[in-house]
Amino acid sequence: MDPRSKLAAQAAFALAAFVHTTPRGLLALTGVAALALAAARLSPLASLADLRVLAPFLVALPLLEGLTLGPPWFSLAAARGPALASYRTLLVVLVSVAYVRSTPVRESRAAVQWLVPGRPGRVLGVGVALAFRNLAVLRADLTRSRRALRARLGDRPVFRLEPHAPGARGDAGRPPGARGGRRPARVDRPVSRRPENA
Amino acid sequence: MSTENQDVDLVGDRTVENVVRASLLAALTGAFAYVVFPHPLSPTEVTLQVLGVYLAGIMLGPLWGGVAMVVYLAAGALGAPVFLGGSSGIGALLGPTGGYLLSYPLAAAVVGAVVHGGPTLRDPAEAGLVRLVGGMALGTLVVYALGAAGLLVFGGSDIETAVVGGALVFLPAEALKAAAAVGIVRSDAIAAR
Repeated sequence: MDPRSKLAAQAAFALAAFVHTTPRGLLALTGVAALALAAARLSPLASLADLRVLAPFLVALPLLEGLTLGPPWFSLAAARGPALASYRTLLVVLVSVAYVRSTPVRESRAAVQWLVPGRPGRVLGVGVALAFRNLAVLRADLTRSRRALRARLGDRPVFRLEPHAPGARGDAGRPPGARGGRRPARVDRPVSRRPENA
Repeated sequence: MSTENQDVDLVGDRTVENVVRASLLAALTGAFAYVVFPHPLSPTEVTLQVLGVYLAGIMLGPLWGGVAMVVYLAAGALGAPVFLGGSSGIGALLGPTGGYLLSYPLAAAVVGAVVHGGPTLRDPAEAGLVRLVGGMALGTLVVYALGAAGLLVFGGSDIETAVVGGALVFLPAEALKAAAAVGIVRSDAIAAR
């Protein structure tokens, strides 16, 4: 399928989901989302992994809205709206995962340049292509910084890199003794610059 | 064998530099999404993305800072893993955190406009501390006002939860990021000329 058609289909799906945020509307859109995943040959369960970062929001919002400060302590009516919104987000994310996994970056870039005509479209297309390339370099830099912090600070957590980052998984297979907490192998000391024959 | 003729407009050096800088700041903001800190008062974690927004406005000014964040959002929507925790796709822009993400171009433009005092770029290292901090404070206001609005519209939340749980609890972390941005701008490590 042409990436422009896919982008249009995504936008139409999102619009329909926002207009029909009702149990009936979302049930019908669940079927459409399943078709999109099947067309992209993706497993729904594997695609749900992309939702893990949004999951705290999707679960917490209905729970927070439903809580009441007295009996019955939880109001289903108050939680209904956020719960439907969370399910809507889940469906829109699944459809966008189908697009991302089935469309090469160069095709997406061409679609953007077609969608945004003229110089702004070309700037956006080139910028997106460069951002894809720069991202890999910067993530590698971050991983190096993390290793340097570990070498200096041991296992004291300063910041954590998400497991997606290259190298973040690399430490998992090492024996515990090889992970952080080690003294630097060599300590640089100032060397006097006295001439040898002085 | 068919041939094709096409007119090509020459692009100025300045534009090329700005496009490259904008894409670099977009990628940096994406890389900052991988640096996460636990937050005791929120179910989600704090990332350094907003530091990327500050730096885009400070380093590139209101126009190209905003462009950098548009490139960031476009790259993420098209599949670059640059959103919270390495996620991507249009779905992230239309979910509960979509308001924060969609605010970034406007926030970077606001930061840039205040720090540079208008569309003309100045050396950010020479900007006064009040101007730097004021610009970032206004940018933070934009991010969290639109972020709370996103929680209302995309997340179905009510206004108290959106303002308290989606904005106020994160402000101390933003103050630390603003302090880091001041340190970066005042250091000699990077230059945007």
